[in-house]
Amino acid sequence: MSILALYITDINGQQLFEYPIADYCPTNKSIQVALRDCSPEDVILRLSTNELVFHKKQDALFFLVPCTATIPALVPLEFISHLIKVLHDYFQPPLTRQKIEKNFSTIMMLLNEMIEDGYPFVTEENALRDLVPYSDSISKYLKGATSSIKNLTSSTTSMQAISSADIGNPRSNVPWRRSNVKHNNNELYVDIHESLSVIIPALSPAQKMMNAIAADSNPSASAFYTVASTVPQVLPEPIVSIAHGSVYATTRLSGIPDIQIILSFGNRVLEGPAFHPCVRLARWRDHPGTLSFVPPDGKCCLLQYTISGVESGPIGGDLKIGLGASKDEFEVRIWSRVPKNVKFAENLRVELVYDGDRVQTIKGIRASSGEFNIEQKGTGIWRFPGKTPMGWSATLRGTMIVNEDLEPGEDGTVPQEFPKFIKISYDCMGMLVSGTKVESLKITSGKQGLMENAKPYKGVKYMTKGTDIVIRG
Amino acid sequence: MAESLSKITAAFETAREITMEAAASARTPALGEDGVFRSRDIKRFLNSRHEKEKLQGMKAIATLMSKGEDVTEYFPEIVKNSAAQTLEIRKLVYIYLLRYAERESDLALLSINAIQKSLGDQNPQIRAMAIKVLSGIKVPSIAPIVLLAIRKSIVDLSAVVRRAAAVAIGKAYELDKSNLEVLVGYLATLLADKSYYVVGSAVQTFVRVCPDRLEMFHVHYRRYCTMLADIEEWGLVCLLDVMTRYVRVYVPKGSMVRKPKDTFYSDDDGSGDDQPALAEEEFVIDPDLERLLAAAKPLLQSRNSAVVMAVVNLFNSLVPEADLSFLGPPLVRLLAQPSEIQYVVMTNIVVLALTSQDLFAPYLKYFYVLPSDPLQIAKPKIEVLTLSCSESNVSEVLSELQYYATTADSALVAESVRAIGRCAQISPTIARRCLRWLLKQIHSSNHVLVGESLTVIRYIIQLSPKSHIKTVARLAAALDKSRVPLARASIVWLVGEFAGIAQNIAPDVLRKCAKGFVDEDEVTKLQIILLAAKIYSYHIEDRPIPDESTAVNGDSGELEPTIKPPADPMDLLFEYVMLLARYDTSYDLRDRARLYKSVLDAPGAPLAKLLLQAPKPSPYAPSPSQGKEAFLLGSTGMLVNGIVAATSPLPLWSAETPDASIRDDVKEVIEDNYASTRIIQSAIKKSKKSKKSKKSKKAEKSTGKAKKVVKKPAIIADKKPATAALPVSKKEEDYHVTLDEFFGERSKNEMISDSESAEDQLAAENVDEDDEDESSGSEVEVIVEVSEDSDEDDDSDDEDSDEDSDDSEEDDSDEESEEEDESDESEDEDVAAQAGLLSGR
Repeated sequence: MSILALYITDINGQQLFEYPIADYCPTNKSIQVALRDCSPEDVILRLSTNELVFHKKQDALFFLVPCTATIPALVPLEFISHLIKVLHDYFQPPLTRQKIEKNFSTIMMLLNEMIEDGYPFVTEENALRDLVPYSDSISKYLKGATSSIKNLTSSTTSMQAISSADIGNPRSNVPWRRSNVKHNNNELYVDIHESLSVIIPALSPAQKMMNAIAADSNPSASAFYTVASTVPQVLPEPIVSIAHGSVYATTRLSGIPDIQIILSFGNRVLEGPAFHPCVRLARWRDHPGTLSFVPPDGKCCLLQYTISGVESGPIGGDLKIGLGASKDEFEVRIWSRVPKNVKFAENLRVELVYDGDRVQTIKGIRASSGEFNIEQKGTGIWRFPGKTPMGWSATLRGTMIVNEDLEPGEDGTVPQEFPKFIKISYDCMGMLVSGTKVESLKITSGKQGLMENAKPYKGVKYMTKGTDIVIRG
Repeated sequence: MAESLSKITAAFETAREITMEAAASARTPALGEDGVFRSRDIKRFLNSRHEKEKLQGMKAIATLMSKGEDVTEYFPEIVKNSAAQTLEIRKLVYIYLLRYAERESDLALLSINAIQKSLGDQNPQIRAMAIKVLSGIKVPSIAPIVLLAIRKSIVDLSAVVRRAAAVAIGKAYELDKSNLEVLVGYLATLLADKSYYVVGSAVQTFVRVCPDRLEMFHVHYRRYCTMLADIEEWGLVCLLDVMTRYVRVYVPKGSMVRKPKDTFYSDDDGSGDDQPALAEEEFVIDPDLERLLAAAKPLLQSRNSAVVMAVVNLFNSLVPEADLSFLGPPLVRLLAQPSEIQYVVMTNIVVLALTSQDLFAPYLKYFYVLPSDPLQIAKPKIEVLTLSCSESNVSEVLSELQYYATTADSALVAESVRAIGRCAQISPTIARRCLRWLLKQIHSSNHVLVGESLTVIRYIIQLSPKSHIKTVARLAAALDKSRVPLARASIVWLVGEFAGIAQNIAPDVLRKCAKGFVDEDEVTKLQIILLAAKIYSYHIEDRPIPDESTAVNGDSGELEPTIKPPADPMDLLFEYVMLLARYDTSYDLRDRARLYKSVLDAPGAPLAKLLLQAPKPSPYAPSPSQGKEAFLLGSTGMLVNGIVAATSPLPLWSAETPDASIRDDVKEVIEDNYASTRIIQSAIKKSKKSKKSKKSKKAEKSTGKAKKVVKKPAIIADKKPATAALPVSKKEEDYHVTLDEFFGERSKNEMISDSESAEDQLAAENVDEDDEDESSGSEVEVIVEVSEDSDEDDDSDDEDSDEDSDDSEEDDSDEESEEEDESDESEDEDVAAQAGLLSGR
């Protein structure tokens, strides 16, 4: 049961870094040969009855971890995730070939601490910061300028910092917090991110009928571009609406602070929340929503949760087919609602997915705003660069041209093709779809490390990321 | 404000990066600056007097190693640096040694001395490094030195060193397996370690060195149950596995026990005595097992998916009969993880769903396939949807599956249609519904959909052929419209297959097919002649038997084939089709036609019957993952196509388990400690309760307590069962309590002995267990801790009040909280005073 080696390669499989652990471990070459034969989606590759390779792509790099087959499958995968987190912490994302090559010795020392006898050992970022100090001379030089904003690595590069007598003792108290944290400016930020998955089904025939009646009675809607606000049409209820949330704390506080965050989730049920080891579970159990903890220095994910049945988000849309004189047009509408505290959405894009084998092209595209491009076979993307205001709407209309060489159907004609579904994605700052809120944010104790009159800066940010908003046609 | 700050931060960040890049290019040339490392230069740097240059040399070596180049030629120079002052150099040298010592064992020996010296270093981290390197150098001749070093390290004051020693035991075992017994002895010491930091690694080593000696866990079992939440995540994965195995072997299995209801008051007549029908079944498990389960359950909240999976496996292997519905949410939550973890989790969810259908039924929505799901995740999702499908949610599931079947990519289409077929097994009503939908799909232009639909239709018909004659007729009708050759071939085959039941349909289909035979594809033609042969074989069977004596087989009414009344249209049709086939361009078709003709010409055509009328086994349509239940949850076997050297399977439940008392803490010393603990606890409790006592009365109380201590032996005898139960009551505790202890302890330490670091004191307590003569300082420590035990233990009042004070502290201003602290401290003082008295006994 052990990890045999670790390789980092570029996307072409060319090796950048190797860290063999076992005496006899499969080489990157042999792994690459085996990788060529397997489908790109295979997470786990079998080299032999005893050896498996787990791999993960991150940024422009591949992490390959050959293991013995007896290892629990999630251990190497979690290890790779931890390693990437640590490398991000040390070298800032995104990881590049240059960053790896510049820091071979640091990565090597990190791995030396992170894997012991083929098994993950110390993987906590803060603990590693104590064990493997890292700062290049420039950052030290710049530190004077930036330290008030961003704390860099421990004060000195060389051994004095480590071999001093105080090493290692406070760490054993709070294994996830590095020792002797000192900051000039003390800050505490809470970021809550939710990623939203929604599936909205196609309208049932009865609903379509009702909408048709509504549209007829509303003369303004007969124009090319229907305006969202004026059409009180029936929208189907989402069959799936799930928010996966993460609560991050970024703390730059001196000493050993004790923090309490009270969250309110409305009346929603969290499905199987997961906590950072620093969070006191009993406190949560007795007072649901209360996160009480001594944080690791820097950024950490305190809580992950999942909520089902949330709102469908600030951006809505629908897909209509069979419009126009010859019933061969489709229309995509999207609109933004007007939630509180939200001024705009960013990176809004709509993917239009259709059968790429049957559809040759899309003609007669009329978009009220944004740009529409067919980017790959079967997918057209409608982008809205920059910020999209709230209370806004846009429409896209067009006709799909069916491939000529298709065999006709039973009635001798080739059926008209329409988009199968649309997929919306966006980032929206300032709100959470689940209605989760930070009620209070306090540093309850441990101020001895802070200066007497220091009032740590506190901030809270919310972000909803629409990842999979699917509207079926 | 926050935004502007972050903007500034970002600005600085970019500025910093730019400057760094500029500086990197402008730096004065150093070793390997031009990307080329010349061995002469490296050696010069390594031999340099300046630590800085040495470090550069070592970094160059590290770079070469990372690139996979051979750097053995530098061995002598590097070994010289094994006693370097700079920690970073030393670390790099150690890493080098770990990788290359085996190749140059003689040279490596030169470094042993320096490493041994480091074992005595002041800095625990250096000691830990030393033991790590010493055990990692694969030079067999140093095995005795390694043993000595381990012996020294397992009693080290620092948990960091003891943890390193735990790992070293595993390596020492690899180095020289003959030392097993000694090493197991050392390991036993570490398994008993108080620090959760050490225990995790000790358990890992246990798995590596002697995984079968589960008896070593007897005395630790209950303690580990209370410690579970504290152990770091990687060790926890191992520990949970070992505990699962341990329970299988040594703890009685949970069982359904008939519990007689209080029937005494029921208006039942006297005969109720031996009527088990009145008894209620209850699932009863051993208290020790319950303890483990209670401790493991909160771990489902771990952020580490490997831990969650280990806990799920624990529950699934130990109490599969119990209500495990709480396993659903944590697993569902893991579906937000990166796709490779999602994939592993999904595979395991399917396996769980195979055994308990209802587990994921409340979470169906989470398994709806999203367009962004890769195929390897979409497939198990569909499987879970199907497995969780029941009468109550069938319409949701079916409409979802139907959506995938008609819109998704081809691979998923096949999967979804097959899934619909599996849903059809639930009940005849659902089967009819599925069939109706599937029959519609035959006309689809999607070949995959048509082919799969027909396969599933065949399957559903075969489930109960008699009730599906109409379906066959509808299929036959579909033949007029369908243009896809494969679909046509399948329909013809299906009609032929049911020729025996649907007797008036098949000949008509054949008639129609014969008409358009020339225009058919070869696949369809093959099926048409097969259909002709099948119909004919039934046809001749029905004929009157003129002479029974000529029959070859006596078992059924075989017939005389020689009589062929040419007037029979069936005969004519068969002859016609055979003729068509005979002059076809395909060899295969001609050959087959000849074959059918000759077998059917044989007297009685027994061979033909065997060939053509053999009942086909109903196609077995298991869930794709069927059979994966054999794998342990979380193991790699179920993920890989092909055999892997499996994790050793869980041991079977023992039929007879030893008495639970083997898990009692056997160590006299510890028991003693616990007993005295309780006495002190009760005393402290009293002193606390009686009031947040006034200081003047404290002395009296303390003496009172001292008297109790004298009575100790008698109490021990009485309290034995209670002491055994002592760790149990702690099980609800969470690790942050320990954290609180730490903070609490800090202030106490400041009171008592401010020089020693908390860690060393912790270690001191550890040693204290075995060592009677200890300095009063550490004695105090023990008691202080003891008092904390009491806090957590059974003194609920106390805890409540603590809580209250906590709350008020949060609500009120800092000043007040400081006051609280003070009062805490005065209590600590109290304890210290009592402790002082005690140590004087």
